[in-house]
Amino acid sequence: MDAKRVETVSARVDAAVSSTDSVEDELELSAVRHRPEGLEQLEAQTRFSRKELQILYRGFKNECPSGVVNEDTFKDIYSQFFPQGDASTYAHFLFNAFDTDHNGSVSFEDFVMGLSILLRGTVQEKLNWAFNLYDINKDGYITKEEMLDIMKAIYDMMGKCTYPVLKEETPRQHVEVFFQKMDKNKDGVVTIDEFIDCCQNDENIMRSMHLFENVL
Amino acid sequence: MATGVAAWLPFARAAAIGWMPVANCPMPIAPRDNSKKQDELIILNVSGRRFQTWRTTLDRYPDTLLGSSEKDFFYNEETKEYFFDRDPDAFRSILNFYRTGKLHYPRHECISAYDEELTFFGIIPEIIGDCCYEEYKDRKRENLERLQDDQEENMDLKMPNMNFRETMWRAFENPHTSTMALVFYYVTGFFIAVSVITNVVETVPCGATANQKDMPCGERYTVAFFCMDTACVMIFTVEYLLRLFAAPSRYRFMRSVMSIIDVVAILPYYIGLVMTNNEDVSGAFVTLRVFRVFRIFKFSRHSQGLRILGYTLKSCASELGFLLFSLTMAIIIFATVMFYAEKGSSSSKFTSIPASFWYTIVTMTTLGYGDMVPKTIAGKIFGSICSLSGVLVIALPVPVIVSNFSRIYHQNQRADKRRAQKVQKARLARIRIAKSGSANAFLQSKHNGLLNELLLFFFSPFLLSPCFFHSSFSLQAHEFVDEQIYEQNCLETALQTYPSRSPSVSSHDSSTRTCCSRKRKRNVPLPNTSLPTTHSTHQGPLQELSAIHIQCGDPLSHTASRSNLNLKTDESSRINCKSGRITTAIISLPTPPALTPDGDGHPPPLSIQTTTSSAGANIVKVSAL
Repeated sequence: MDAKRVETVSARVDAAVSSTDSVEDELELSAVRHRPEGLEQLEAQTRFSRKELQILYRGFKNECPSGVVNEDTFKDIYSQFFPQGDASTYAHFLFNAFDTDHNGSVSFEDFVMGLSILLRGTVQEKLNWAFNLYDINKDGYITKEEMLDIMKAIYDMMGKCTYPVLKEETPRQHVEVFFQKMDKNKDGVVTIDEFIDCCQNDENIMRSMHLFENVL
Repeated sequence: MATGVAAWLPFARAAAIGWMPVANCPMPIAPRDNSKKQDELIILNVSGRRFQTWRTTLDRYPDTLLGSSEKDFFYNEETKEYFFDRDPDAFRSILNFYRTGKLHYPRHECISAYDEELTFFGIIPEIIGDCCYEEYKDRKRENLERLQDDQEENMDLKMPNMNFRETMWRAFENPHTSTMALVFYYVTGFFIAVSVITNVVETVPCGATANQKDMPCGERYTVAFFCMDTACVMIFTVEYLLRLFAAPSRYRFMRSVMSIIDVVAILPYYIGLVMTNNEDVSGAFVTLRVFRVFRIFKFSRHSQGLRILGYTLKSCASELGFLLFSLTMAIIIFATVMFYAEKGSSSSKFTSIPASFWYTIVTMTTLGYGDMVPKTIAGKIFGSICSLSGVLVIALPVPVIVSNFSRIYHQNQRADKRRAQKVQKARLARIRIAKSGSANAFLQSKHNGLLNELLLFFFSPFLLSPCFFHSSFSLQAHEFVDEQIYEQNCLETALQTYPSRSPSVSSHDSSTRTCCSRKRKRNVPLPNTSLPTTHSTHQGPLQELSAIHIQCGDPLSHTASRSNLNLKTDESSRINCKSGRITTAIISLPTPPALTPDGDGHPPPLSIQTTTSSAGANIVKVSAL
């Protein structure tokens, strides 16, 4: 993800205007355009075929003509898939998970890398990615508060149309269950190893992981 | 935005990893997207210009022509493309709609042509994006008004068999229709003028006699003026009664402004007759005579400019109201200020706030009579502020009124010009048609024998009417344009653009003529469905002919969406100049298969499972039918 070229294109509508407030003009009218790495490089780095990358990029570029997704667009797009609930919090966490270099925007490379892991990666990689998602502050530990945030975000996203109907304290209970399962040494946090171990031993989770292979 | 997110479906599904580890039960298997096949490029050939797009782009809107199987009707097997014989420029916006999800209205495009394109492709205009919707609505309204104007004009060349009452009404409304009407028109005009002048002269002091002081002429020559008045009022009464008799809807006539003016103009006289020299009410009676001045408004029947002015004022009612309101506010404010400012000074004329109103009004309108002037310094300061603000407040709504007036005035000018042209050209056309016998020449010039057969079969009634024939279906349109000037009037632009847009002539000779002027509506005969329905295969004249009809047939079958193709036979009879009415055989084509929209893309209630597959179908739906 190193060859990222950011071109600043300033559109000068009125020369007179630009001469007075040049700084503001730059900020407002400049279009940050990002061109992704070449197709071959992406092909090498991800597990997608050329055609798949083309399809993905077409969809990506359609929604984000400037080449990068910022958090609001990300939330918008994601919310359209879950109209019945409020998916913005979960989308926020997702965004942070995709934005691996934490620069506030997800470029196509980030996007495709993430997708490659999720859809075509090994179980280990997927679990790693999931852990990364849960670990909000990226410190290597999942605390109960982080888990609670994630849980609430997921429940928010599902909205009210769930079966059975969820109650208010369900997220907290769910977190408790989760921690009981995952936290082997009962130190109140879940590390990556505990997480991966526990998930690999859990049949349900393993079965679910295999479902992603059919996507795309 | 909604259209493109389908491409993000894999991402949405992948993001499900987030809740997988915390799920209590295993995830259900995600439904396989079976409908997904390899995306292919579709070539859309619109009158020679090739557009290409992905099939999925078009599938976003299954309710439209391009998104449904209806486009298979236009598929050309040999070239493996879809051929549409429509305007390529307008098609651009339509295709962009599929791509971006927003329908734009290009400003340079004619509104009715654009509407037709939309209807053809099954797109309802209501989904035009906000950026262009205002413009679209404005243009549409303008066009509609123009059409209504023209329809009213068309009434002029009415059927000969009107009864006496209708003839009279027509004579009243349009003095140019007959000599009698013209005479009547001028006579009434003359008497209005006489009446007004009498009213004015009545009050002029007539020259003093030796012993009396100056008295107005009215009191000196009472009898003469009374006779004049009586004569005028009699004429007006007769006129009013005649109009009342001839009016098609008496109740509506009585409510109309002009009739109220008429009544107000003659009423004082009758009231004066009824109550003779009763001292008590004669004062009131004198006041009533003021209303005689309203006779001058009767001139508005004679002057179009007056009517336009009245109409403008009516249409600018809100601006005028605003002007009045803001003036009132300002007057009250400044009057109060001036009153308190001038309170201190002695012998001030500003005795009360209402008294200051007069000063404020005179100052704000920059009249400045000078009968009331402020004397204190504060008063002078506020007085100057008052006059400055007056200029501003009055100047603001005036341009709006002016522009309204200008617009309406120009519209009327255009209408008048068109009317004048029409009258002259129709006369010329009749002369020409009588000379030319080109119907047979046209038939013989066609090499396609089948065309002749068909033409004879369908249009034998029309052989009597060469002009209609030529104007609609002539391929060598150019020749006819030169010969027959009337065609310019009736169908000019249609013919000139004919070579480029063959099938739409009969629907377009109506629209291209105006686009920007006027739209005709005609009943077009439709052939049987035995004619081939695709017009993309061969380009012979036969094909074009059938294509013409099919084209008109298609819209008629979309009756719900295409409302502006109800064509009247009056039209054709007029274009027909010479012969009588054309009887058209109306045959309806089978409607293209109505497409039921796909199932809604409502994601079912989630229970921690991935159901994003159906969410992808949650696309903006366009129902045209």
